[in-house]
Order: sequence, then structure tokens, then C-alpha cells
Amino acid sequence: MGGIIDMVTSFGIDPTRQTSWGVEELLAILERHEVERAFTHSLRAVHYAGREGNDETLRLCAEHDALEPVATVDPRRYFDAHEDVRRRFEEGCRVFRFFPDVQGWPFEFLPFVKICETLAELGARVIVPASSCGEATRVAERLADLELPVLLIGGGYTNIGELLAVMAEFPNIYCDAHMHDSPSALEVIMAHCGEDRVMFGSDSPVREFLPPLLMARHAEITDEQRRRYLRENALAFLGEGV
Amino acid sequence: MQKIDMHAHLGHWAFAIPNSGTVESLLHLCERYDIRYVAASSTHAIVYDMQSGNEEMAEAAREHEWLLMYVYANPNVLDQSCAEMDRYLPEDFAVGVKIHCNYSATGTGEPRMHDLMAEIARRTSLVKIHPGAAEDLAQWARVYRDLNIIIAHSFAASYAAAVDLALAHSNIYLDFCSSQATRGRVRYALDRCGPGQIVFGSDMDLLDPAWSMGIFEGADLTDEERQAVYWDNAARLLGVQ
Repeated sequence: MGGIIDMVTSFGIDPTRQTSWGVEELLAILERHEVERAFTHSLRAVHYAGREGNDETLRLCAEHDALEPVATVDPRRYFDAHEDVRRRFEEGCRVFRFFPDVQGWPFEFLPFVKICETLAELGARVIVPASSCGEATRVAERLADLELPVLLIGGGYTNIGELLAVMAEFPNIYCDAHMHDSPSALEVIMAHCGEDRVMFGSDSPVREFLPPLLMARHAEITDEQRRRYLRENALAFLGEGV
Repeated sequence: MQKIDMHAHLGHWAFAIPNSGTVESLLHLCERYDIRYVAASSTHAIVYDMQSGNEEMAEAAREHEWLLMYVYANPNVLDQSCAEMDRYLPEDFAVGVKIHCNYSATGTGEPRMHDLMAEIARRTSLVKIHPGAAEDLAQWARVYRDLNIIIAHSFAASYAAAVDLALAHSNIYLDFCSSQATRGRVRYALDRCGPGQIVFGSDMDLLDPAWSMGIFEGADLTDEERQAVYWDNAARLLGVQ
């Protein structure tokens, strides 16, 4: 089952657990599981310094073919965030990720919406966490007027019903399945939202790579749907075509 | 390989999980993942009505030899819990007791939980607890030496404390099913305390067993470790071949 595109990975230090994940560790996981491309970001950019961290992400992604850059955006730094996302886009970043859970701002935060307006103008894609009930709804409603593809990540059995409703209502919303561990989760998402709206993420190396992969292997879907989930839906989301 | 699942539930959860919560849905997963025995507690008993839930669980376990029962006990109703244990534990299909701190809103440090644990230890050799404070579990492991205690989820992200407990007490067992599939938990436990106190649990059919299998297989199990965690340890606890 080669040809995987992993939309959710990272490298660096997790200060909440005093754990350091070097990029070599991430690369070893990707190679072992035959991951073709992994979208990744530096944890330095999340927890400490956005610019330095994004520089680190871009540098390492330039050095390793399997890595694709995800620029992080911190809306709390509103005064220079627009300039920063434009610069990152010019440098080759097409995917931008937000961390309200780590950085402590709500989805109603106007700087978040204004930065997303800039990202929509650029033609970027964004990744936003939505693991608790209400979050997917709030993100979708806040960004409803923008032509901005949004990948909601981290949903699980507690909010899968909400995700189905949100994705049915808002065609620009997609989801990953790195936390969808309930029976038939993938089948349900594909059945209710279309087989092109869900894509693979592992959250490696923070989390085990195999649980979401084994879920995909055992899901009662066609091989064509499995390929879409593991690779082709990510390409479509990225606007790269299949 | 064949497995024994030491953490399962019969009944519905309040989430959008279709085709779940029944004996048939559990059997479907057992067949898919080569699970020979399932030790389960009633969701109905845990989240709402202990007596009705235990009765449903017992009825199902009586009819299906692959399905084994944890009797659910609620520390808020000690006398009723004792009656439930006395009613079901003598049955062949009942293998132990399940307690749940969150759903009973009773921490392991509460006097009524200590009272319940004393009653459990008088009646059975196996209890599964979710979750719990390390100091209380250590105390119970010391006081009730014939009682085997499975720590459901092994404290999730705080797994090192669960591993320390298993290292210190041979009657503490670890179950690693969790939505939070933090990398390296199982290998850490295996390297620290060996495979003899780790059991396979899936939390089905709230979770799909593939998820927990991924957590275990990510640890690069040796053949000996795989045999111990998927079968031998649970078989020893349950007294099955």
C-alpha cells in the first residue's frame, strides 16, 4: 500500500512532554511506511518563534524530497502576520496551519479570520484543529465566505457527527482521520461526505503511525477509495490534480 | 494470531458510531481481527443503570462462550454492587469486576471507592479500573495481593506512572488502548517491565481493534512479546486455554 501522502506530521521539541523529535526520526518513519510525501512543520514555530521555526521548516524541506513545508501562523502577531504569510507563499509554502489549542485564541478571533482572507487571496490551503464539539462548526461558519480549502484535523468519535454535518453544509471543508478510531469511521465519512473529502494524516512522530494506517487497511471500502484516502484526495486538496 | 481482548463493552455510546453496540457488532469485529475471547462490561451499566446493564451483559455472555463478563460495580451504591457481584461472579462467564471513576464521579481516593475495592477483593481475583490515582492503585496492589488490577488505558499520556506501578507490583496489569496513540508507550513498558503484565485491550466497539493493534504493532513486538500480550497473559488471568 505505497504512495501515501501524510498531511499531519511535525518535528522538533514538544515542551509539554519534554520530548524531542528530530527530523531524522520523522524521515525514518516515513521511509518505513513508504510515505511518498509528508507535510510537516517545526514545533519551534508553534511553541516559540514563528519566523525562525518556519525558516527551519523550509530549510529542512528543501533538503529532503519527502518533506513538504507547512508554515505556521500565529494570529496573535497580527501586525506582521499578513506580510509573513505572503512571504512564505512566495517561498513555496502552499499549506498554512493554525494552533489555537496551543496558543490560546478562539475561532471567533478576528485576526484569524483576516489572515484567512489573505490566505484565500493567495490561493493557499489551511489546516485547523477541530477535536472538540463545536469547533468544526465555528471554523466553518467563520470562514464560510472565503474560497479557502480548510482541512480540519484531530476529529474523533466525540465529534464525528458534527463533522458530517459541517462537511455536508460547507463544500470547502475537508477532514483527516488521524484520530478517527471508531469502527466504520472512514466508511461513514466517505458515505456521508463523499469519498474525496477525507485524507490521511498520522501526527507522526508524536503519535504512532500504524493505528490510522491499520484502520485504512481494514476499512470496508474499495481499493480505489483507499487510494483516494491515502494519496489522491490530498493531491486534489492541494490543487495538484491526480 | 488469535487474541484475547481484555477491554471491551457491550452497548451503545452517545456518539455517531453506526452498526455498533450489539453482540453482532462485537462478533463482526472479533472475526475480522481474530479475537477469540472478549472480556466486556456493559455500557448501559456504566453510564446509566447498573442492574439492567449487568443483566443484559450476563444474558449475552451466557449465550456466547467467546463473550466474558466484567460485572460493573458502582461505588455510589455499595450494597447493590455487592449484590450484583454475588449474583454474577459465581457464573462461569463472569471473569471479574469493572469500575469506572469518571462515570461514577468517584475518584480512587474516595472512602466509598476504598470500601468497594475491599468488597471486590473478597469476591474476585480480577478488577479493571478506569482511570485511577497511582497511590491508590499501589495501596490496593499491596493490600490485596490476590487481586489482579488492570489499569485501563494505562493512564494515557501519563503512562510512565502506570509502568512504574507494574514494575513495583506483580498484580498490576497494563492495557494500552487509547485514542491518544502517543508514540512509544508500549515499547517503553516492554523495556521497563517486560511483557508479562501487559494485556491486549481494544475498547471495542467504541474503538476499532485495528487502532489498538496499531499501537502494539508499532512497538515492533518480538514473537515472545506478541504471544504474551495478545494471548498468554490474558489466558492466565482468565483461566482459559
